[in-house]
Amino acid sequence: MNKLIQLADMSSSCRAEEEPARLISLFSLSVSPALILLPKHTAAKNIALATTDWQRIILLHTQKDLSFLKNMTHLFPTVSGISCLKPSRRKSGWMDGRPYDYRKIKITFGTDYGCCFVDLGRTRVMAQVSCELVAPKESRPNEGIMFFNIELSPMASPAFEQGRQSELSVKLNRQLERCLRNSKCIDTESLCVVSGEKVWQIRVDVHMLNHDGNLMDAASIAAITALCHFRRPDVAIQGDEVTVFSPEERDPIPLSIYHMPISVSFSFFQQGTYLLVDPCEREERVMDGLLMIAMNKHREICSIQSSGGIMLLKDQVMRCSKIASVKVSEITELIGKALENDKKARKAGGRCGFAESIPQERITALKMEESPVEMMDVTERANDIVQKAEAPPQT
Amino acid sequence: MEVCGSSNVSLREFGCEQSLLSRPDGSASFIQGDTSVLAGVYGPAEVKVSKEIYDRATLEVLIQPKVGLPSVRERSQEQCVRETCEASLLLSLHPRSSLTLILQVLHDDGSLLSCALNAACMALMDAGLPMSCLFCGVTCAIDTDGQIITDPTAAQEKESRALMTFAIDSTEHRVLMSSTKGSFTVHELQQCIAVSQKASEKIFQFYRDSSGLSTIQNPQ
Repeated sequence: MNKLIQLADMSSSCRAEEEPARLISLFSLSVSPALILLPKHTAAKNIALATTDWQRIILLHTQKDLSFLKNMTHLFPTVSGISCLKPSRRKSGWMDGRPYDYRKIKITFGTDYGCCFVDLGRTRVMAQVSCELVAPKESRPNEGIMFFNIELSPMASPAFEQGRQSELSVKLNRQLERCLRNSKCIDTESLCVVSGEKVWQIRVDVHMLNHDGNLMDAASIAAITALCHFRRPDVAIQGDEVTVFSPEERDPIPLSIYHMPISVSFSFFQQGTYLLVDPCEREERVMDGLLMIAMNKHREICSIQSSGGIMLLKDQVMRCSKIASVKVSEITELIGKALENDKKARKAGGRCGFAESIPQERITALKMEESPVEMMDVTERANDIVQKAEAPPQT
Repeated sequence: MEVCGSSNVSLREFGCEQSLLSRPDGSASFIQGDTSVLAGVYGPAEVKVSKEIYDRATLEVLIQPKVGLPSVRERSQEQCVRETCEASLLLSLHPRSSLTLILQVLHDDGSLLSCALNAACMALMDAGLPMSCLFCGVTCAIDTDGQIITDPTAAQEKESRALMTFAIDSTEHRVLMSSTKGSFTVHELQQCIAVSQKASEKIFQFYRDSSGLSTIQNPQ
């Protein structure tokens, strides 16, 4: 009962030459393995192969030679004429037709200070910074405390479960801590209020809202932007008395940030032959290994981590770091612009809430102005409720 | 019967956006003034054997606060939202499946539970799940003078003597769920229910407009 399913090309919605065909529907066959092939005539040189294996759908990239299929024709008697596709070195050859570039990054801010949304393509991440006065660590009585928490919300992907510390969550948390805390990008000594007794604890919560690949980069951009955006309450010390002013009494003050480390992820395919910056979710599933370089705009590497067990040559790592420095300077510029725009908007006194950030022209969005509720017949209604209600049972 | 003053019964500015996330089957973001909640729905999907129900779908609601981990307050809000959804979803159409509704608080400036209910309803609509009726959430606060305020801000909630949230259904405007805090008389409760029913008409009109179904008449 082996079946061959050929899926139609979705090129009507994509540009025929550049966008590869997409899988429009996958049938999960619980009976036996099946091969799903996209038609040979698609113009794109990269075609995705999917095989169903009882429960899972495995997406394979055709960078590999397809000749192995010839050995499998006995399993697929209806397949004929599988041509071998050579791996393509086309620049814009990846699944969504991108060159070696980042997807579109969009940074927006929320109503209160320290709330930031980052859209990296379709990956969506929210960061919120908050602060609290606590007792300092005994080993460092003069320094404030930075606390990072990345939440893989079950909204981001059906694979994320609430409350379970999955491997990915531990890995992302650790990487973000190394990138931001160990690089000492924030001046923690300025967070000290009373040495040995009270210091500020800055807490950064990053929530993943939609997982379409490269959560690490989106999280690092969101975290550092939120930290730059955040304002902490002003504090006055007079002898033994410490007064914390609310935002209405005195303007809150920003954190002192030395530099902005931003992480750039590279994914490798075919034992390091092919390299892609900012992998999307499908690409992440089929990659061989991942290299993460956190760098600031002064070309200082803050953290570098390679995972997946690929062996990289020295010049590959050097090349990646050069690409990373270019990307980091672009992203830092983008963050600077976003912060400037937000500052201007707040100074102009306009409302910078979410209601303003809803795009007006989209068909999926709608806004309604503040409106009064008519109260003409409320008394009659309330009377109605009493009269029509059944009496409670006698107990 | 006390007659409440009809002065400041108004709803704040509303905004809604649907289908804004690519992974969840349905997603919606609902904004009331400055309060904003993002909802995502997955389902019907595979369910764990320990949680499956033989003739209905299993609905799970998760509310994620903005700062910190979910605590008991989020659990009680989840229960309110879950009971409302179970009353209006046609769960028997998807036996032995799971429906997961995740609500993320983006900003809390009062009326959080009703904003969460509204976002949940819009996300369930966006996911195309079969429902017997739509529902909406309305929050009423009674301040120290006895005035009823609908859709209060966080500052108004703090000053209020009582705070009530009702979930109202769209077909007969009955109360599906109520969650109250503070002390109030029975008459005040009835007044608030009546006010919430009037306010819900506006919200349902907003739902219809945003789904583009403005030509469908409300069956009366």
